[in-house]
Amino acid sequence: MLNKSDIDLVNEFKNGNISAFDEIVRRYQRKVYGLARKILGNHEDADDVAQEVFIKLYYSLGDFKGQSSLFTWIYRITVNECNNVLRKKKIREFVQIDEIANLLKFSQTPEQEFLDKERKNLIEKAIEKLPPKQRMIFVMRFFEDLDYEEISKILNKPVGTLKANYFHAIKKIQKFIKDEMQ
Amino acid sequence: MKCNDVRNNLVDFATGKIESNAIKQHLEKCESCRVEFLEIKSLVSVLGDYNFEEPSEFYWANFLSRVKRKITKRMNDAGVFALKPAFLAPSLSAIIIGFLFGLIFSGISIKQNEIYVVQNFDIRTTGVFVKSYEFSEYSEETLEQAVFYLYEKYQLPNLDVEREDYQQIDVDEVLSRISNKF
Repeated sequence: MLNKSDIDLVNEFKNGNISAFDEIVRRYQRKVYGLARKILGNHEDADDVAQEVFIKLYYSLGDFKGQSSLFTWIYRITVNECNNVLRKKKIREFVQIDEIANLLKFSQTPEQEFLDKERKNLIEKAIEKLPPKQRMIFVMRFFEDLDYEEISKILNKPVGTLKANYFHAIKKIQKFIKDEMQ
Repeated sequence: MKCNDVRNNLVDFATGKIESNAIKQHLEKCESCRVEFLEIKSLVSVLGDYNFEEPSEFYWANFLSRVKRKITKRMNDAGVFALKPAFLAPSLSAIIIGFLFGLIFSGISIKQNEIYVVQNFDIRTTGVFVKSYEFSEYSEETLEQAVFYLYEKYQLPNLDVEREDYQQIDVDEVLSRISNKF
């Protein structure tokens, strides 16, 4: 089962071998969670989304025609689910002034652990500040290393738009971090 | 190469995802793009170190079984699951909140005592309708999300079969979720 291709697993599932689905989940669970975690910024939402993605996949795998790769398909479901979460949630004010003040106050500490945590928090807050579309493009390109053609298939956007959005996302992150550090 | 074209590829260039002599040459000539490049390069080196805290191995060991449990649960509810689209119908200005029906019959006190209840007895095809005028302060989208939450959490139609289970509903939590969490 481990050496089988995605499409083999899909076909086996279509032929009634449910354990093929198990292998698909094992194969993609960390990727799906990781993508959702970086887009949504917290474990709880990422966990909900990851679960929901595979439930949706289970119900829709029978319709999978192989026009795109399974990977693209799963990522598309993930992105859509993340979008739903972002839409449903109130636009939170992600960063409280005090929180940032504390964050920076601790930045003088010599312990690397603290520094790493602060930097991580700041980056997460900067990413959370991005509009949903830019956030998804940024995460998929920067962290997930997907090429533009792949992202284009997942989001159904032209490559030119993706590139411009990617650049703007970086600029916004840069501005956020600069502002917070001042 | 124009500045705009360079900028749209600058993050990829800074992260080493692409190599381009044209961009190199442009950066040598164009000071504003060069400054932009240096800023982005320093930012991406910080962002590149970012990683979220991975869930434990226990989480991953249980992930698949959690997905499968949910799938089984939904399959068991398949008969009533078909009601879901009705929740979404835009024509339903009155939001369906089935749990209130149960609350009223279970004797649990509820603050919104003016709630006007319309019960359709053919629950298998239409669900339990509650016209919640007192929720008018909330947007339809919010209430729709509440319905989904309630549906998922309490599996309402099943509860209706065993009405006494409504006693277990944490009313405060539900109301607080409706009013605050979306």
